[in-house]
Amino acid sequence: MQAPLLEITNLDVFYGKIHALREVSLSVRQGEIVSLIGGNGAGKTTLLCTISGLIRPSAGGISFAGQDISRRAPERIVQDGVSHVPEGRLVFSPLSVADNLRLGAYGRSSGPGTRAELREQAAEDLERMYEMFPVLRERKKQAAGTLSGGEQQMLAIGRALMARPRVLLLDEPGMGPAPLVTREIFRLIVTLRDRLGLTVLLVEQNARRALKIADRGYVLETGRVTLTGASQDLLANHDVQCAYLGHDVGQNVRANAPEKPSA
Amino acid sequence: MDLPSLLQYLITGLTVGATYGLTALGFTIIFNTTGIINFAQGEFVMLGGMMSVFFMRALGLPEPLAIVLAVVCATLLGAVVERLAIRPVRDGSPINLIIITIGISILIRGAAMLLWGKDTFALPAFSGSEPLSFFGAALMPQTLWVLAISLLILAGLKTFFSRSIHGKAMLACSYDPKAAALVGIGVDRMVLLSFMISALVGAVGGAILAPITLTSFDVGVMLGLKGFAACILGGLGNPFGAAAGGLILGVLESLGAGLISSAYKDALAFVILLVLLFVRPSGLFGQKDGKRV
Repeated sequence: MQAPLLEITNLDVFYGKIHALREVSLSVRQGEIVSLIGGNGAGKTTLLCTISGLIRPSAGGISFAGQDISRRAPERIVQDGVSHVPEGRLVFSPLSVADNLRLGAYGRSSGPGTRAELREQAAEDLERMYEMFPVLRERKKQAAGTLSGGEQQMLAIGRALMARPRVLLLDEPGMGPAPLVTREIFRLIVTLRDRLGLTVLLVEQNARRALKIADRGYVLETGRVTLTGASQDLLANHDVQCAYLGHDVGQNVRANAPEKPSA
Repeated sequence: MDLPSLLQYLITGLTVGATYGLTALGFTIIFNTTGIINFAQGEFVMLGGMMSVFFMRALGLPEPLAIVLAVVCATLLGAVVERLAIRPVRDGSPINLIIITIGISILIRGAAMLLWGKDTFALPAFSGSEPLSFFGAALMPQTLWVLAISLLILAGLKTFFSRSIHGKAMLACSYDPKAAALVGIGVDRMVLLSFMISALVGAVGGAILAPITLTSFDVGVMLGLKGFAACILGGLGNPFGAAAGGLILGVLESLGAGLISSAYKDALAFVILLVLLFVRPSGLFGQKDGKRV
């Protein structure tokens, strides 16, 4: 088996006195879609933010392509090849769609190659994004804040792809847009993996949707990984069904189901 | 009132207002990238004028060279201030940072006083001091320099922020620092750059105004406050508003001095500011309400 592209070992993160992540270990192999499920406040977003350098871990390691990135600055991590599409999309609302996408390639402007080459690369990538998301081409001059939720999500993903990442961290891409659009976005995630060989770590509130497209999954509860396995196994897992899939598993089962807050 | 004197007040107002506008732009640029008000902004305006005088007198440099050197030094000092005083405490609350900038301002003013004394200095006008007649009003050539250079700076900044990817990256930091970091923009570098640009703009303002209003170690206090008032007048965070706010403030102040009494010249700016804060707290060109979520 190949070495994981992204490997997290015994990660501890504190928010002030709150112990947000406790000895979390997780690995993602090249070309995999791994989904991270768990309730509100379980630490999913914290984990992604720690990987992308926005939050510093107090202990543990994050290795990407064999290098420890846990102490690197966020902009450096993007340059290394890990792009994070944050929760709530966070597009630059007053800037145009085209500018948002161009800024996605900003980290590469100090990379190898002459300025003309880099500019050409960025222009090619921009064109690729427009092909992938025709709606963004139609709206390229519009301010990003005027787009619908689904379009903003596509823009945020496109912006992240402009950095030519090897790993994409996606935080709740299905949150907000209409169900039809959400389905389209999830289909896109699979396409990205299949066509570009992108590796994806996906955080999603809707566990069923996430596990359906993922190869493997991790369940995070109050900062700990409590369960991990292949997606089919998790989908079939009784505890997961009760807690995250909203299954009506019948009275007989309900009696010994673990108690979980239903939200 | 006759036309020539009205025109005279307008010209004077626009000239001083242009400097207020440049100072206000300095406030805006730093506010946009960091969310703090840099109360040392006025000191960079002072340094622009004082260092120009110093380089001319002490080093015997020709005036244009002295001014360029003064602006370069002020810009570098802006970088030093950011690195030594702001960056180590960047994660602190805005109010702490603002108090730090007040400290920096006192420090710079004190150092300037020790270095150059308490005297008032004049920088020679850039191209003679023979007034031109303009519809009966006297127009000093320096006025034209001030207006032209201010416009040039405004146009330069506008181009930087609307055309250059680095300018847009800087705007991106102001819209959403987190998202900016996630697309690979070094937010620290952008904050550094914003301090440098602000210092540069302020120093240029100080240097071009010095031949008209004279300069001394403490002109930064008033210019800084007026610039801040202009900034609020135009709507905090809006560069266009800042420039316009400066011009409006300058003109109102000059009209007030001419029509009412020049004794209340400085007070007038703050009366306008107070009235505005009561009537329209978001400024003339600011967003009406808080951000839409």
